Amino acid sequence: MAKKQHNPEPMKTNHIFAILAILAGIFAAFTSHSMKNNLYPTWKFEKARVDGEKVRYISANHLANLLYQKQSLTLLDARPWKDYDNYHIPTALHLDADQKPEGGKDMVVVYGSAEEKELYRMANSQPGKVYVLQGGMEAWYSMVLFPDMLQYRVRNSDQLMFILRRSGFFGGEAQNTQLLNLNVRESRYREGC
Amino acid sequence: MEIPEIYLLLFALLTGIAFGIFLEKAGFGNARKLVEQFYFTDMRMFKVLFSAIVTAMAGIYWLSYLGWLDITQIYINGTYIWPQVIGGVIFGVGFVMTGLCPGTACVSVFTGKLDALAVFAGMFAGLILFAELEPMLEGILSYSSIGDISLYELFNVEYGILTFVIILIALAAFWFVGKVEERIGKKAA
Amino acid sequence: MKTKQAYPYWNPYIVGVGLGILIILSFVVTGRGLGAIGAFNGLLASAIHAIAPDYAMSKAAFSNYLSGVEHPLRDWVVIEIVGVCIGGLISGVVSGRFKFEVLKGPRISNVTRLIVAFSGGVLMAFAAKFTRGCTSGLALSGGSVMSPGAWLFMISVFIGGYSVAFLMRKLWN
Repeated sequence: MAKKQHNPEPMKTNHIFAILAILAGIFAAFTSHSMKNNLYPTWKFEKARVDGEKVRYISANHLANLLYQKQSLTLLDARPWKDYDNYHIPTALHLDADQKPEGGKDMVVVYGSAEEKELYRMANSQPGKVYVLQGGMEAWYSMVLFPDMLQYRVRNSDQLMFILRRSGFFGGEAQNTQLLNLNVRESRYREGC
Repeated sequence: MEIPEIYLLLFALLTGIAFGIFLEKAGFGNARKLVEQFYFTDMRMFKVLFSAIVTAMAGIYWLSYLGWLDITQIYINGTYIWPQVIGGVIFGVGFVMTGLCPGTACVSVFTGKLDALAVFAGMFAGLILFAELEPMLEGILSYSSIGDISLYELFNVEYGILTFVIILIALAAFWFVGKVEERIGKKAA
Repeated sequence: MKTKQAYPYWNPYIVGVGLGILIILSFVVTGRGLGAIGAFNGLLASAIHAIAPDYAMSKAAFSNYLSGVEHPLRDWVVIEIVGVCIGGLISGVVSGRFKFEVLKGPRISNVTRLIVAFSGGVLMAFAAKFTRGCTSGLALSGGSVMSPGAWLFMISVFIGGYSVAFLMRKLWN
């Protein structure tokens, strides 16, 4: 057999590292469940297949940002009329309303209590790309109107202020602000590193 | 716990010194050594980069599990899909041209390599170029940003499981890279 | 005449683990990882500001920096980069690798090498601002916290590098 390139000594260290790495990984996999990593996802769009049909989701966080920035989109409420009259997301129109939403908007967001593909199909008659609000009204309440600041992934005071302001914009109020550890570590200049 | 600024800066200095020592000891002060990565004769850059990432990843996971590190408070680089892909390719081209990256260029200059000085000058020129062209690139720069998201959120898997998977992938990659080195090294020898 | 023999390089995995521990410490103490290109930008912005303040403030890349930082020497990354330089110097001298020379392949001239190095530096700095980070800031630190952008960047760097390596072999071999 041809002579090995490395002398045996470094190979031993590498083997130790490899074993340690695997052990660390196995322990990580086992303890993974107790790690709370599902803090409010701020991921904007998600695609899924519901019963074979492709459905596009939009997170409540992103929808709120779009509305807050006055982006034009068509918002449809697919819940019973009673719920709509009680409270609906600002600028939302009920699905069966006489006043049809004005066309020309290329984004349609629908929310309701029905199943996703039902909502999807209901809204598909409108022109434009259809998105289903991920988590429905509950997500809207818990992420936008009454965000629990202990759960939100806040990185700096600007972001914190934004969430508080946005919550007030829609008529809600942030929760647990007094318990929030405002000692967020801010770096002076984040654009580059 | 708020740390006074002077201690943070002192920590920065010590971290930098250690960083510089490590880079130089790995041979990255030498452009010819670094660029061998791209000719398959010495895959050091890959090894150092990924073993550092894997170590840090595992360490951060474990510290956050033990509660000594709050992962919601640390800085996660934002993801801008197209700028980072295109920029990465350009960076790779520049990398092969110079044989150095910004950090290793510092190490190289301070071990006397004059070509690294040219790289320094080029980098400053590049930064000025970028500053000049930035208004035109506004649209592309912020295009396809998906925010400060983490990989496990993106794939909707658990943090620990993904750590484990990445560790396994890295170990397999190290083994593979070692084999490539032996093969090409034998051919070249 | 006795020439000082350079020490051999360390095992890359040891360096990697050492760097990893350094990154962990950095996150624990400061909440962020390492960086390189940010320091260059900061130093450049401050230098330009000292010479031509109006020009510096008119460019977004510089004014963003200057409005956020009182003095470059109070910026974390700048001090870190100074440390990198010092560390490189110490290690280079101690290991016998300090030497004034131009590193290049045997088939090209010094001038060619310097010109190519300069152009490569332009490309790298430009790209690093584009991607908001270089290998130490984005790939290393971002990869440790599992930022998708870091992984995208790393893969792209390898793709970019390997695709032109063959074309540029005359530079190095």
